[in-house]
Amino acid sequence: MEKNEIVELQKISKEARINVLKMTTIAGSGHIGGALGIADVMTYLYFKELNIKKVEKHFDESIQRDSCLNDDRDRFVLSAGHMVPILYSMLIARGFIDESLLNSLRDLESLLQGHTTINLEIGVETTGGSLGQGVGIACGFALSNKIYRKSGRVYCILGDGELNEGSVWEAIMFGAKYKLDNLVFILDRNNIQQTNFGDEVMPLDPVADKFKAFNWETIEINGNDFNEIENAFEKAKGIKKKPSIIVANTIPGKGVSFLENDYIWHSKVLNNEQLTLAIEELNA
Amino acid sequence: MLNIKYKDKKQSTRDGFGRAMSELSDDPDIVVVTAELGTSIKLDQFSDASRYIEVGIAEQNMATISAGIALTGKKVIMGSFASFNPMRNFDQIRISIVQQNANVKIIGGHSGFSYGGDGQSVQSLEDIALMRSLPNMKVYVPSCAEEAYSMAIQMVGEYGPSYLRIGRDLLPNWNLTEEDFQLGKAQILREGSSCTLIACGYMVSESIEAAEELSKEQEIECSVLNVSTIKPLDSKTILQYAKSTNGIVVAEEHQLNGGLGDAVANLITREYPTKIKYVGVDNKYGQSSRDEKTLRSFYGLDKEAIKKEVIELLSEE
Repeated sequence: MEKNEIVELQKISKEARINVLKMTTIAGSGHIGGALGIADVMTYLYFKELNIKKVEKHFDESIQRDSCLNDDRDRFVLSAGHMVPILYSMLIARGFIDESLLNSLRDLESLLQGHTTINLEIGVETTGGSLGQGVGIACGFALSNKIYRKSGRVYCILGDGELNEGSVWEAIMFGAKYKLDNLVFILDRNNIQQTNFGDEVMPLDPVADKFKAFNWETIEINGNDFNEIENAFEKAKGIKKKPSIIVANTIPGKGVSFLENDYIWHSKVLNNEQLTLAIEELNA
Repeated sequence: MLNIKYKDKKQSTRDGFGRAMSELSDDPDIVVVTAELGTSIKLDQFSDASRYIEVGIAEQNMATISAGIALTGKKVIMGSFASFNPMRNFDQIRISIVQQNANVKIIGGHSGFSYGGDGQSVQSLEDIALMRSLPNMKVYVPSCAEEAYSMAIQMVGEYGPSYLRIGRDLLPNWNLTEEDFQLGKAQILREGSSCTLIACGYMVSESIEAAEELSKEQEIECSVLNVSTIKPLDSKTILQYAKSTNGIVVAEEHQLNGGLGDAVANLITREYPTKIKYVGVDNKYGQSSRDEKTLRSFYGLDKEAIKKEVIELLSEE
């Protein structure tokens, strides 16, 4: 990737991180650690990879759901639905969500719900929040595209804590069975969970070997390096007859020194003072 | 009043459902998903292999795969035994299917005491309660093969999540045409002014037999309502019969908690309090048995139990 392109993407990532911290502080709750860590992968997806456009109308029985029928768009699933603030930040940056809604996260009747809630008009493809489900939905999207010969690709981010759920492995076996080469998972490998470091809650290593054993193309990268991110997605595009998983090693809380690598920030938000400090650091 | 003569052949609700699957095979927008029990519930009579998806023994994945396919604009039918579907995957049904209003039809086979030999783990007595509790979910419990066939066809024709409870037992088909079976409408199988028998599924035929015997033995004339749509309930018909008889006896192959009995009780209490009694499983689990008739009687699910409740109801002040 050209240097100036990387600079552009880093700028978008930085703004997104700031928005994640702003919206969650205003809301008084939310999940920030993973959101900050996966921001670079999300930026690449939303600005370089995904073939998506703003959908005019969310599905509606009376018009036979025309906004999700038969099109060739790519679909993005955030299976780790609690990381939704980074998704909202991307959708704001892409113009799917108006920036004025930044202060409405988790508010009553808000479009910005606390976990992913399906709403095609703002670009949220499916509901999340109970871990281990989005991965299956992503496989369903990909399989449907195979059956009905749609060219859209399906991308799904899952958390490493999420791998504790058995249903994830059901979906992984399924993806290999149906040779879903139009499907790319990205594992946010940040080793933090709600109550502790991931390895303390439930050890996962050797995690990459597990996916290889399940017959997925497995690509390990530094998830905060745009060159490595690009190479991984380009490689995945060329893989045939099997799905791909990018094991993205990320730093939770990336970009703010006092947030990095601490599981406390999985679901804790900043107070106003901390927010100001964090924004200063990110802008430096 | 509809003619309740039986047709000569006895069939199971899974037979009727299988016939619907066979007919629906040519609809290119239908995808069927199963977790290894497609043959047992006759889901595999769907004949287009390219749209018949086998997820293996993984009911949770079955539900999320189904949701994903449905959200691309397709009609999905997913089936397994009721004891696993909706039990094992209730979280996935709740969030991935119902909260997204995904167009998935959920088929729970081998329901109730359909299969004696397998024992309590497979004998699903709680599935109606679970599914009733979900907003957006419709709950259908056919009482004969032709009703199962008709309900399945109609379910696919309407949008949104719904549940069909079927079984293995060979039951009489009511002498009705397919047009008589309408989703959301109770059928009046017999008229009588003493008492109203309300039932679903297997217990409908027991209720008819109970009504016939009460008429012969005691000169008590009962109305019999086949309430095959449990949610949304046909309140109008139920209240009409509550008002024109002395009371109601509800019979179902399900726990007393949370099933048809509770649905009717809720309606009656609010709209027209009257005497009401229940035949169902009273807070127990099932067990193995080599034949289902004995098993059901053991748990008080037969015409004798229904007759007993009617007589008690009529003798109360």
